[in-house]
Amino acid sequence: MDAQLVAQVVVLAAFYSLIGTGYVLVYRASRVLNLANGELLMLCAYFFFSLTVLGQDLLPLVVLLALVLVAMLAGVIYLATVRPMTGYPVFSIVLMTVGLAIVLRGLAELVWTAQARYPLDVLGITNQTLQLPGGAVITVVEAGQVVAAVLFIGGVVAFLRVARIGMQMRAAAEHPVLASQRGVNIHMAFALSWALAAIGAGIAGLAFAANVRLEPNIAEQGLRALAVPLAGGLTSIFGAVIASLLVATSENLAVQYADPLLAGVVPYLVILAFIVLRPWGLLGEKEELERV
Amino acid sequence: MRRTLFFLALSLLLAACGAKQEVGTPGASPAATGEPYNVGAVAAITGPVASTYAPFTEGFRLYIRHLNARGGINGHPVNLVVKDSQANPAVAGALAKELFESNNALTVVMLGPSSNILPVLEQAKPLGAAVLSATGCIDQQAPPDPDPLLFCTALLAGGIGSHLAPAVEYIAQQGGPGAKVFLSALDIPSSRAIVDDATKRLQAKGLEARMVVVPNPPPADLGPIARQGIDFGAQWGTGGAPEEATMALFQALQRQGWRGTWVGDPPIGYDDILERFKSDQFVVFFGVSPLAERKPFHAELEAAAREFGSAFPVPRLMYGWALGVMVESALRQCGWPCDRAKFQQAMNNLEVDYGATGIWPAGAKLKFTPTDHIGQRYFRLYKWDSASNRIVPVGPWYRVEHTGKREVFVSAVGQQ
Repeated sequence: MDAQLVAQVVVLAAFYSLIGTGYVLVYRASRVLNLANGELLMLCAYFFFSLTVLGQDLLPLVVLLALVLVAMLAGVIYLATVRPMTGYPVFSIVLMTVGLAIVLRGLAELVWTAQARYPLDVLGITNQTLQLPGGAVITVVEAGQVVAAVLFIGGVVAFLRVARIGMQMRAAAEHPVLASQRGVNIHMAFALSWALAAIGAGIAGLAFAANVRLEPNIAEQGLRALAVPLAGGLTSIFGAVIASLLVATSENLAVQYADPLLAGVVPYLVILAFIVLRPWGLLGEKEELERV
Repeated sequence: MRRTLFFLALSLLLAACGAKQEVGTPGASPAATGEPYNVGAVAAITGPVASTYAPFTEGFRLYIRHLNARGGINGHPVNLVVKDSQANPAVAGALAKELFESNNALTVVMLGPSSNILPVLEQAKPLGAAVLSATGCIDQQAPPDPDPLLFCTALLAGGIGSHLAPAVEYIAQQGGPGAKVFLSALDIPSSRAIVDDATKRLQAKGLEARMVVVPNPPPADLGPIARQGIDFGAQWGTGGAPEEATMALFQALQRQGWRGTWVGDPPIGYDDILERFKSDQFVVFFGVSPLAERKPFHAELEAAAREFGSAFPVPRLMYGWALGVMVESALRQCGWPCDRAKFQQAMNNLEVDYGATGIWPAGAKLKFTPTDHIGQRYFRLYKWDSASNRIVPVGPWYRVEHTGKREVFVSAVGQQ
């Protein structure tokens, strides 16, 4: 593979892994495939767009506020919609997230309209290009997305392993009843998982809006990234990272050497392939299958 | 009980968001107190192409409100009912049926992707009602034997042969034989047909043309597709796809350091897009005069946007406004009382003086005939001029006319 192709794979894999990690976090915690993850991605980008009124000088604050807002929204969504459904079949909760996605997209269209927006233009910032070794070219936003993906996923893994609340989240995910009996507020732990997942999707949304465009339909990128947790294993963050690379590589190779139209199909082909050949994913757990 | 109420509330909220419906106001002016003309619109105001059709529809609604506020048509207001198709052909067909049957619509205007045209037409046929499709024109509208009920009314697009005809002429003229052109289509039938046709025309003129089809919806990263254009050595780029696909591809080309010139088609013919890029590499064909030219219709549109309010910037409303002008002309020609048959006849012999208010160059008129439901289209190329810091025309207006299903005649008209 040439340098440009490698760069494109890494950038796309970073994008997918940010979203895919969110799916895994939510699934590990609440055993729910949150099909509204793409809508959280989109909403974070809109929060960012709305906050651009604060100006270019406050860009770090604008980014931070957008991420905090979407994290809070995700936590509230969990507490308001998923928590009341405790005890219902998982299938019902997944269907509820489909409905939630429709509501969130509809609200975005009502508030911000369907018009394409370009947040960096509003801030007066140009997305410069970077020359990489080997002649590859990526943008500053793309480079930032890769760095953010590494920091976010590394941070999440460290948080789950080292921090007290992270360990409580793992405990709540592994055995909610036992964790609850040990005094862990399991719903707060689950809400935190939703919030963390929303931050991952939110970073991807910010990067997409800054690099490409912002409109309600960018939420569909969340659905494309569903290939990542399904291929990597629904409970494995490392699996999601490996699967991101796999999907991104397949997508880029398909476009370059076969047909550009395959770019839209490849993520779903990967899902199909794993469902047939290894339904529990690369690093997933076999016993989780029944729950899905 | 609490859970039941919770799910009931959630279901109601979902239903409210899923079935978005807009109803136009039937003329609040005291002057427009007569019986209304009922006009239906099936518009893709949400869904995958909403960024194009939501502002288009808003411009159309704004014109109708403006018309009603001025007394309507000889005292008869226009009652416009807009329903959201979400760009879904099956939904578009069902909504058209509802508009004809429940709202007694004289005609249905279809603002959405070309895939929605035929399902709407199917509902209109048994009633003998005309369908005005405000999207890319299809072969069934082109001369010499158009469907008697189907009219192509959008100015932001032409037919399969004509949509990119000015771009083909311009690139062939500027690039000369041997120039390499990269063309992009979105994976929808009309876009593919338009770009495929333009590719063949360029090749026939001795240029090297390569077409690429972008998946629908476009993937997260169009870098790999842009790379194909760069590897091809393209000096020129053009396409016949909605804004989201075209802009994403041009940006992906730019990100990889492409130094060619992109010739945009009218669906991205908006002032704000040229102002955004401020690039000599990016020139766009407009199907109406840009706001920068401050024509009389711009002043009317701006006043209406101020009076009635609009969520979209004025340049995005221009094509919908022009559609409103056309519908008003047809209704005036139909007279009162107007029924579906009379309206269809009016459309068959429609003449719209778009030159009068500056939508097109002075003297330019759109004319439909029983054998031509596309009519003449006028397109002009504009770019951002860094020296004067404003939008300027590049060359004259092009007049594009279908002489057959996909045969077109292109001529330069008006001032340079």
